[in-house]
Amino acid sequence: MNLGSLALGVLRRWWVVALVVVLWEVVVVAGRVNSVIVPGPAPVVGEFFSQPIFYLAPLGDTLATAAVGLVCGVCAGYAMAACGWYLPLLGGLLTPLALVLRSMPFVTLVPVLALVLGYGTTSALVICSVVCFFPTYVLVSTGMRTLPGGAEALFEVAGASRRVAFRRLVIPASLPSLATSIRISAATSILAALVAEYLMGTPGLASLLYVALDDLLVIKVWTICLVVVVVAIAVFVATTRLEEFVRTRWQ
Amino acid sequence: MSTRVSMALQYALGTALLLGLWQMLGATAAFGQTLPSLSSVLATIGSATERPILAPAVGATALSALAGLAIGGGCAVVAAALRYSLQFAREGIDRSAATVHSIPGIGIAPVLTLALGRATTPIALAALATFFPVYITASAALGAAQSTHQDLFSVLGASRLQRLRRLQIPAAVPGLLDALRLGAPGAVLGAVLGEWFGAPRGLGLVIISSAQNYQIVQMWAASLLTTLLSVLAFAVASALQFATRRRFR
Repeated sequence: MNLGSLALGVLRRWWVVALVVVLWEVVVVAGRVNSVIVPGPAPVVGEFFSQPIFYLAPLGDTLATAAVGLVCGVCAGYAMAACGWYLPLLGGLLTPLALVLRSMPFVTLVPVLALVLGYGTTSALVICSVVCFFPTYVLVSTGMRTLPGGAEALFEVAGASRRVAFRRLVIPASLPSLATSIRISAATSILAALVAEYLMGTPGLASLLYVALDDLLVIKVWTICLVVVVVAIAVFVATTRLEEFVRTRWQ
Repeated sequence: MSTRVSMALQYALGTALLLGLWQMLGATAAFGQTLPSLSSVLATIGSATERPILAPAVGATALSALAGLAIGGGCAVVAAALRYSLQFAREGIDRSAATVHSIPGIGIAPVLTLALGRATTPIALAALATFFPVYITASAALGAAQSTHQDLFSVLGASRLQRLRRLQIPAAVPGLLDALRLGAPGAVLGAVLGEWFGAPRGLGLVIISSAQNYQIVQMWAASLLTTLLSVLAFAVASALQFATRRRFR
């Protein structure tokens, strides 16, 4: 009974994913597409389990790049937003820059960044950091500016120093926007890590993809893509949970 | 109005700062040859040898982005309408829209290339990139009709379909244009990403091939044009929203 309601709950949330898998199978079985080019779900999953290490080891590289880039980018973005709060003049100077940079398609600039920084693992890290930096800076500095009404005045009247006000008021108030920026940056960071690997050939899932695509190893291409999709969804679910938790605790 | 002006001023100031910084770093060759100055990139865009390469590429990318925007935006509005009318499916549709959004474009581009062909992949990726922002804003927009108006329609005995056509859709127009504004830059990004996987033409192809052949200025030119295209898409959608604001308020 309990198991049944659990399954029903999962199905209610994820029925579209199930539908996609079923449709995929139906299309392949009905023979509307060439099964050499479009293999069904079962062979793809089978391929993964036949040699999991082949896929998981590069996945580890990709996730490491994305994670380190995420941490560096988010920390730098947060620090920059904090500097903007401490020194309003600097904040005023950076805000217009951030506005413009926000509307720039950063992922299409990865080849440019790779060229400027040189091809290698370090530039993959820098690219991920840069891609995470901007959303974090923009979101967190907005969060630091929208403090609870009158709170800043209260701190001032009560004689709190800027440092105390920062620690007791601004940091807690900025946590929800930090959580949002982590959710957004995590997805972008994985995308940027993959793009950087694909273009520069540094070890990772995307360079595996490049080789598989070049040699027309169709089943491998599909399996890699499936791994990427599953990991991306898992990261999305985890970061959304984190955001929900932070929002209920600090807002 | 004054916030609009100060906003525009901030945009202008930011753009000027960024372009000035670029020109300075490029002119002093701070990054060596890899960062050419803005003026040399602009000269390249205008030059007789590069223009025949870049102009058709811009056209092809703009066309893919537009087609993707139409397909992705259309699907998103239909999904939002379904979400609105089918209460029981709401959670599932929400979650799957977010799930679709969490998939990185590069992860499925190769599969799309295999399944749909190289020329169609940019359109498909542009559509995917557009879907989520449009879906979210369209869902909010469909609920935008005032509840007193909803009640009036119910009292006068309007059917669900009539209410949708006469009240909810007109009330949703500003929100839908907002969706367009958010989706348009994403469509350009998706189209360029899709062109990296062997598309026959487009800015993404120029970026990739110039990177491989070490044509640095050409690559910067194509990247600059990509950015301009996405800014232009945003500006056109914003202007459209501004123009219709009075009619549908």
